[in-house]
Amino acid sequence: MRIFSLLLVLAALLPGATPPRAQLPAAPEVASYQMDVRLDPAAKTVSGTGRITYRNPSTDTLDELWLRLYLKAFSSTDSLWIEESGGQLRGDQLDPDNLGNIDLQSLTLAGSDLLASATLTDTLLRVPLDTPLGPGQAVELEATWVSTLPRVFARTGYGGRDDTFFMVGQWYPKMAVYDRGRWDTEPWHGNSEFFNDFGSYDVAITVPQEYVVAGAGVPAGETTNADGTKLVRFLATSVTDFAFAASPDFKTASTKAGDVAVDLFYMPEHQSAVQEYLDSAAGTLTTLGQWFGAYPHPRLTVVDVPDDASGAGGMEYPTFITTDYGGGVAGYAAYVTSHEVAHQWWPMQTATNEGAEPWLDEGLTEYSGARYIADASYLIGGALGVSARSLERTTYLALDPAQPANLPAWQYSGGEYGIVYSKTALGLWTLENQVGSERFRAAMRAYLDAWRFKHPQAADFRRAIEQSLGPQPWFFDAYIPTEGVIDYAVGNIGGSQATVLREGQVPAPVEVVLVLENGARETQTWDGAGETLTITASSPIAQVQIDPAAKLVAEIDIADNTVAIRPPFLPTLTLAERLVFWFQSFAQLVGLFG
Amino acid sequence: MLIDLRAVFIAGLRDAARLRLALPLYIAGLLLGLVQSWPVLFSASNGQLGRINAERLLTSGDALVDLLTNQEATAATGIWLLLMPLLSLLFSACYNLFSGGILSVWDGRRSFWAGGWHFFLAFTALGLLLVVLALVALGVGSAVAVALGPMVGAGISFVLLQLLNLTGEYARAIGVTQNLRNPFALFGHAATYITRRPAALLLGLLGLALHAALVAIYLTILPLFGASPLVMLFNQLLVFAWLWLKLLRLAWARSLVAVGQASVQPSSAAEPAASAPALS
Repeated sequence: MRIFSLLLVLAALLPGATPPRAQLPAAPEVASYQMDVRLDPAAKTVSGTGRITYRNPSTDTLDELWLRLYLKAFSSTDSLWIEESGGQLRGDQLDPDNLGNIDLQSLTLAGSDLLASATLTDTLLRVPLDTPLGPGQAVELEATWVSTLPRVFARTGYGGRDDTFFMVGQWYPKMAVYDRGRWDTEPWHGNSEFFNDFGSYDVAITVPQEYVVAGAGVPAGETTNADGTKLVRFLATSVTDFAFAASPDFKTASTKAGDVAVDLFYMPEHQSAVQEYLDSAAGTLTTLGQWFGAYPHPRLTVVDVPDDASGAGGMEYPTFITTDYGGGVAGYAAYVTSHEVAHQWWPMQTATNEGAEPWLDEGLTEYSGARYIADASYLIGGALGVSARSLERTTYLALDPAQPANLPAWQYSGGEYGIVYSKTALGLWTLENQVGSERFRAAMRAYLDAWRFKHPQAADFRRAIEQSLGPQPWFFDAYIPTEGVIDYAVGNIGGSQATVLREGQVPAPVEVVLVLENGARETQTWDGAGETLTITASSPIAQVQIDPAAKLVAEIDIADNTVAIRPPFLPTLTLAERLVFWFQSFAQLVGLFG
Repeated sequence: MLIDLRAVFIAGLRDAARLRLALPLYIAGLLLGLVQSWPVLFSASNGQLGRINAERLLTSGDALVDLLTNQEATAATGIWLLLMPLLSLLFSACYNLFSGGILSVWDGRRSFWAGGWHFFLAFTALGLLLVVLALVALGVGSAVAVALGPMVGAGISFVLLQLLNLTGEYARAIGVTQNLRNPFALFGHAATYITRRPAALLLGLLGLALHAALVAIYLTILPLFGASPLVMLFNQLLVFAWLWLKLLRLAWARSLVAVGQASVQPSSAAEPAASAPALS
């Protein structure tokens, strides 16, 4: 037993070892919610009462509180959120005849009405306090409200068979965040989703008995009522939000990721994707846990949405994600699932402000999910599909790569916002390749350890990463915040001398390999300083290869990275055969019909 | 009518075993593929084939994506994609020409080229009719998908397309065997023929299973090649095998039709005419 204990201690001290879930500290209880709500499928409403316990997390005295009423964004086609989003998401359109809303009927503090003096602007409710709230002090707000759900086109609402599927997200009166001396009073924008405080949730949901409820947190009992309804209860701690989905059509399947239960709720017509959902969800939980630090909860709920409610798919809440069947294209479900699971690290553990600094949320998540997909060798599109690397690069290049990745969400148009995902993901992937996966993951672990259950900002992320890896100015100064791109090209080759050109503005370090006519190889590392590197080899050069190990995943033009004095026969033949083979396969598939 | 399915099966195999009949279609596909790929080969690499990284190309398909997403290659990639369906139409025309020739050789009444040209227009019109019906089938599948779900819709589309494919094969076989050239009559005869003879459906299913098995075998073996250039030969083997299986389906269709006709007209040739000129 003593040897066994020693082994355990040694294992814990190994580089890369992460503390198990049980050893992680709990999050501070800043905003906690106890809610008792009823889903009315016919009226498309969720109504109920709630007690919000808010503890002032700052050293300031607060003389007002701010609450977010997200569903107000769905109440009018004139809302900022609808205007910015264009009333559509991923091709799903807003149904102007079935809008949503939240009607906050009462809000009291110790029996005293707060609504009378409150002011509503867009989705934000400002609530003056008669008695200021000192540092560390807590108040208990009692609320009564009715949330009317919209037909799903983005994140929340109803749809599916006979409109019996409900995705209930961002649906209750929610405390805004007071951080670093100010309330976050930025209205809800088209591109952003979250900025939340940590707390615990105790949610009782009454639904018709035939409904299956997929809730965040862990189930804590179910009782049936004489009126044909049932009450299901969920508990969650160290989380920033609560969402649930309900449908009479849900089928369920489960798996485990270590000691974490992964519970899938899926539509029967999507049976073919069940294994991919489960494998990718459990695989991402396990892998990112090893890379960055443990997933801090006992359960993850994965929800598959109906085809006509795809706007509710591909969304993240703490301990709860929705994913996307994607027409059954192999690998796509895994790609979406792994992205949403990666959100369980960023921002569900590092509660960043997605509106102000979306790259710390979607960018880090896109990187983490894509790296898992690549590591697990998934191909999007099945056996003949593309890798996560190619998909990410294609997305990046299809957008305008010459954009900063770190702007606030509201400064991007809907079509441009993808750059936050792909440019950040490819940049981090490149940084990982530059410093080595182990070092990079250790740096990410250090960032998470320092900022778990807090509100880090970009400067905090940079500080944590550079404390581990040393200065990375090409990434933090040239790549992320500017229009700069990474691009190198082979210039001239003459005799034993060659030039390499930096055509992009970002001076990312790069390796250059010279293949000499005598077969020898000479490698040189260039820090990217200056615009040209002239290299002299020991004998005549046959070929110059920039970045032969393909570390610069974010480089925009890779096709000019290799130049040979004489065209290589075999690769040319291989390329030709591949192109011809693709044509032959397509032509024979369609041309031999009948 | 009782049919000796074993005899039909073996006769079809014997017909299809004349591999040189598959060569014209294979070569046509290969040449059209080269025509399509030529602009990309040069333009994507800025006219310098020396810019292709040998090691990465042989070890990862991603290098090809890199090449095609290269900014200067966008136009070339667009041309490549545009040429794909256009040249596939030409390949389809080749099929309409050569299938008449191949079936005629098996039937023994005409030479390859004489049979090919004799049925070319009829088979081209038949092909157009099949395309129109295929679009209708896809429309039906889409409607079913909306009503009953995407999997059911996809299943319905697949079944309808396979039935159309089989009908087209039997229409060609009937056309050559009975010397008919009206595409509507051919389609009608073939549809009637298939619905009345379970053997046709059985052989069609067998052909489908063989095609599926071929793809499964290919995908299983492909990773074993790794970065070896031998994968080029393996790819071409798959292309030829796929083509040969198509001809085997046609051969089975012709044998079945010929056997049926022989039972009505004893003088008809159920057996292939080995003496008929193949590629004269």
